[in-house]
Amino acid sequence: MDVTEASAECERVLDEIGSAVIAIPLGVATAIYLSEYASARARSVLKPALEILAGVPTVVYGFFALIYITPALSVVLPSIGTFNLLSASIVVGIMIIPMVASISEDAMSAVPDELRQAGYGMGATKFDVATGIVVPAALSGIFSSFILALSRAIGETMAVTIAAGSRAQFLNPVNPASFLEGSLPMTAAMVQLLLGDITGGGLAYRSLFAIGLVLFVITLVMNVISDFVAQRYREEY
Amino acid sequence: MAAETDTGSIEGFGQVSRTVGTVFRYLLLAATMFGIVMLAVLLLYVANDAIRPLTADPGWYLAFFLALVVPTALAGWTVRRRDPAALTFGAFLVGTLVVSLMFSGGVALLVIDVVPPLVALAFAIGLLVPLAATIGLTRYAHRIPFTTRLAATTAVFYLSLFGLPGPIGDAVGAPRVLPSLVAFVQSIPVIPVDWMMVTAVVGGASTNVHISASEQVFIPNGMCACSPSATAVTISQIEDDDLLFRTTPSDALQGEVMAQYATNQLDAGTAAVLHVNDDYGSALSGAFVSAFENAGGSVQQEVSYETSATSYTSRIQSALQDDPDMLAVVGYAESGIQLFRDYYAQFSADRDIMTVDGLNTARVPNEVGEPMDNVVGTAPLVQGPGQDTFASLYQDAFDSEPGPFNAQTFDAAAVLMLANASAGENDGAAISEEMRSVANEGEMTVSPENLAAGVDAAAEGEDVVYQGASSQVTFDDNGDLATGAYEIWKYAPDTERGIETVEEFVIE
Repeated sequence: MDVTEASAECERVLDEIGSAVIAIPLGVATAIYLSEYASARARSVLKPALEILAGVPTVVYGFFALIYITPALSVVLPSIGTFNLLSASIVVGIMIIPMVASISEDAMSAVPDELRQAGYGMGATKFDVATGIVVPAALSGIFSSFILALSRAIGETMAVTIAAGSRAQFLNPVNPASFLEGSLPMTAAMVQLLLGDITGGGLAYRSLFAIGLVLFVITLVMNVISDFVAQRYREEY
Repeated sequence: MAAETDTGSIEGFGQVSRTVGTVFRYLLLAATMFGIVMLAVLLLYVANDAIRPLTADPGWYLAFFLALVVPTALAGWTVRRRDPAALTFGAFLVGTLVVSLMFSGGVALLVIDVVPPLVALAFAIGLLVPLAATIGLTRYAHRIPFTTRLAATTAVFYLSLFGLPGPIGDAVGAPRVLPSLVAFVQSIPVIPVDWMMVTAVVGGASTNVHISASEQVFIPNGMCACSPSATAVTISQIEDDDLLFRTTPSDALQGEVMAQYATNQLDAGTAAVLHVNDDYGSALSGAFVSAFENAGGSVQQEVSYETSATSYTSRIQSALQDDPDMLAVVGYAESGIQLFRDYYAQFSADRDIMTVDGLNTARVPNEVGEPMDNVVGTAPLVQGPGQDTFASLYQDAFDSEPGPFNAQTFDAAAVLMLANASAGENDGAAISEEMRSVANEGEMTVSPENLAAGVDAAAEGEDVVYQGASSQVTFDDNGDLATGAYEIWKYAPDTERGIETVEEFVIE
């Protein structure tokens, strides 16, 4: 069970890295576009459309990953397994884009117009204003959105279980090839442990609490970081 | 400002490139669209997999397009040009219609399939009545204080849904004083059990099903049931208000046949019985034992066995311990095969063995691995006046020979129809009253050949008598067949059927 737990842990890290790689740049870019570039009309269409992404049930995402994304990836990467972390990361990444985008966009919209106008007054282009003024000013909000979205990704069970399977194994988090292997998410590991006969005080029983504790610590650390960043980069207007 | 030169110009000043900004802008747009497009593509894949639109014929698409899409678009466009408000209203109307149809279809499914209609009706009444009372109370709102109205409303709903004292009283074990309105409506006997009023049933098929269906459904609801294949003796003994009939002879007759053959043809004075331990086995074995002892024989051992045991040697041993003249085996083919394997492994292949219709299957000697020359069996015989007509009708309809109990099933349905026509009403008790008169005696003979004409005649009040495909179909006081035709068969592995008839019996 220790193997299960440890491998679940490393899977979780991998999955988180993978989905963060997808969700953070796309989410921030989306937020900048929506707050700075999009016309009011485009925004009124795009924002609800993005929120649909967050509303799709996670089991549907898992199904998508297994049935459509993995076969599509196997064209490019023939060595990919039926259950693999890559497609799981992609769907979880897509799933949390709206969280990053929507919270970051709120933070960017909250940046006062005076700052932008001052920038334009100094002769800055729209690009300069967006990247040099609005994003730094909204940094604390953007970081909060990262943390929230990643916390959501950590808790995600269904999509990852379907897409990444439930085979516990050690994977090297630094090796990119690990993404082609299947693995067992921590939350799914807990469910799997509970399905058997659990003896109170046994190894499986303790593993349950250990996994729960690790999940809790991860979430706590993320929240602490989020709080710290928000304090550190907070701008008062 | 060390970067300033003497010319007074700053490097890069006044030169603004829009390229970076434009590229950045479209990158951002692409990022925004990424997730949305991805989801749309996935949904397209799903739609394609679910509907497979590309497998349809192009002609079908053309027809669909011309018949539905073009006229709709034209009509919509015309209306929109003349009066946009009318289009909005029309679209709303059609949409409402479609949605409400789907919704009511779902509710109908729920009411018909999931919740029994009577329960749904009971709850509808149980909710509507207190609702009406509540609305009535609000008319006197200015005269009655709020707390009184609240209490009254709550009480009305509680009484209607739970009765007195309701779930709280049930929890402490108080007796029911007043049933709820919901329970009351459900208990009204005039409302039919279901959409259909079932008055007569052909069935049930096996003894166990027939007994429990009779006790729980047929008899409480006054349905007349005619079983084509339940042979157990116990069915004759059910308190049935004369509602149960059958077109297959009772095992009591088969036991009689076994005893007669054992005494007369096999000259057996002593016998042992091995029977399967269920209703069929114990009843048939009991019938054989009493008939055999009436005929002057003595039964030394009566041993029961369970199906699906791995070895029957010890049961056979205890049945044969007093060395009887013959052994009677009452059981089915599945367990019988193992039983006979065990028998031939250790016991004499010369002893006479009688068995029953349960083992009347040609594959038995093959699977046992012995010729089984010493075994004979009994089985009900399909031997009615209309047998040949029925067989040819069956051949025409299904392109195969009738199987076991097909003729009996036909007879059961035919007698029920005749009795129903003769009774002139759809009522189980009335049908069961007519069963004997249409089956036992009459002036006009009805057989499978002229059944339709017979039903017409019976409806017009003529005195008909049915002569069936499987037997004469004559019911006794229990609703069982008064006579039974049986064959004595033995295994004949060399013939095409694998079984040959030794002798035929008609027994009363």
